[in-house]
Amino acid sequence: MRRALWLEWFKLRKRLATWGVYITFLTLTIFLFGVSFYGARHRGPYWGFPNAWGDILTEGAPIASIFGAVLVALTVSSEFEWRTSRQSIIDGLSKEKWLLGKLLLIPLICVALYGTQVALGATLGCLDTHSPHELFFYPMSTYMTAGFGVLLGMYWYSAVALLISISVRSAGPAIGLTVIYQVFDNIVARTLRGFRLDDVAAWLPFQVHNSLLEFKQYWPHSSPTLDYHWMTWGLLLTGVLWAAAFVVAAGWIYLRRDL
Amino acid sequence: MSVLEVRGLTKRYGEKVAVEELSFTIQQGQIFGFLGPNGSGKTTTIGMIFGVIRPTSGSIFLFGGSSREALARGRLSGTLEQPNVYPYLTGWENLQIAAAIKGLDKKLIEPALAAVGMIEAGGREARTYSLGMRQRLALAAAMLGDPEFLVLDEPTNGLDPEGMREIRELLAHLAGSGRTIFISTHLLDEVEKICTHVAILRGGRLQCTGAVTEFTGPKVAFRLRAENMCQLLDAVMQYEFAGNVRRVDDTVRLELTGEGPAALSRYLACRGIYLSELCGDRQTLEDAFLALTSREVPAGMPEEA
Repeated sequence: MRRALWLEWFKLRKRLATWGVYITFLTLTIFLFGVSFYGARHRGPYWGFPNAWGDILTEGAPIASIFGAVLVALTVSSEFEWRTSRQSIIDGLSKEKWLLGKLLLIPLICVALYGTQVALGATLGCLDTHSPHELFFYPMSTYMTAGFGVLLGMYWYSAVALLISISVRSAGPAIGLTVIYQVFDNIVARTLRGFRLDDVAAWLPFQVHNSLLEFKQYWPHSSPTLDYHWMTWGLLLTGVLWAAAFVVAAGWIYLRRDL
Repeated sequence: MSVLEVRGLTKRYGEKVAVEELSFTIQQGQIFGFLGPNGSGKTTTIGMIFGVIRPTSGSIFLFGGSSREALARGRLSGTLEQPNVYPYLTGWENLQIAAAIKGLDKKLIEPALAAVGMIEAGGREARTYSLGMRQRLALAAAMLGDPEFLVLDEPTNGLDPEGMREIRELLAHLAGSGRTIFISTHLLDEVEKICTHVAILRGGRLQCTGAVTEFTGPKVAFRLRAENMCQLLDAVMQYEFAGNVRRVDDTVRLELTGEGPAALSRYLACRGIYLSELCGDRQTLEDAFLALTSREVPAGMPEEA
């Protein structure tokens, strides 16, 4: 397991495209938090600790999730384009270990991107923690659950990227389909809601992903008018099940197709 | 001891049959040439040997077990189709990955690079390599850990004549150390020079298999030329030790049994026929290959497997 993780990390960090994606992500995150921080300083509301935690944990999460998925799609599909996936098997890595490496790569990418975002937001939060304005302080468990939920959401989207990459085996189409997938899911959800099937729409994979990235989902009692009908644990469980379904589907396809 | 045993191997892609009922065995120490025209199923067969292509039916035994076991234990290694390398990594880093997968020490990388003449280029990104350099790198990766059985798909593809010679010498050296090598190539003279055994594939079916000497044949055929070719042909037809006599271009071709060319020359001189040319006409592997792949089976060829 350690060897599989080392291999993935080695290949990831040595690739220039990885750093290109990361720098773009970093720039967007700096811009996003910078705007929030600047706006708070000049117009309010107060954006420092403790009440900035909600924003720090979830404001940039959709960006982190998309970039994580793009990075997974880029990394996995390239292995098929270069046929290095096949060569790894010829060199003695079993198909299961190859897949395990990719499944370990996903949390690595998620933690790296989300960690960057949280660290950046927290740094800005530290700069402005003495405001006389209102304070929103939730229990620590709420923040912890939100952080876990966002990471789960990111893992979910990256699992979709893994499934698409293993299926199409080409970097360009894999990244394109990964990004387009959310549009497709949103259209289906909107259509279902048009037929007053809101409860069904909320179960769609990308709708679950969106819910996982929303801070208010982790403090359901605070808002009786939530758009979604999830209770926190139900949401997390559904997220885990969807992520597991995509991972199983990716594994099923990979193990059965010729390389 | 059999290193590879293939039994009734078949691969179908929908209606298309890529490989059909393929059966052959490779013994330890053999250098086995796998020949066939483009699209004959060579790469598909090698893919199945490596376990990266699932056979429709049939079985493959490597060292008596599965290819998965042989790969995991480092007994089998090789290349398939074009060299598969990470273009953004250096040659050295590519080998570092191969070594990590095989659970080998990094110390082995430098000797492997040296063996294929890539020490200087090892620090450059693989994207800057020519096809020949990538071939060498892939070969170096395959040789890491000294596998007992090397399976190489077109290892000299993209190499210049000098590079081909180097790879041929390297393979001969490896074979000399008792290693078993399975090599797929279009270069028949290469196979004739380094292989001990050969199998010829056509349209996914095995046409024949055997020792290279069975295909090339002993030097018993001769080509003759004289001033009067009709007289020469008549005389040779009556010669009791001549067989399979025929006109080939502007010569008479025959096979001698029992007596040598000196006796033949004497026989003809006694009849007033003086030869202007007498040369050995040995069948090459290329002749055998072309004959088999164009459905002409010359006399004396091994039987279809």
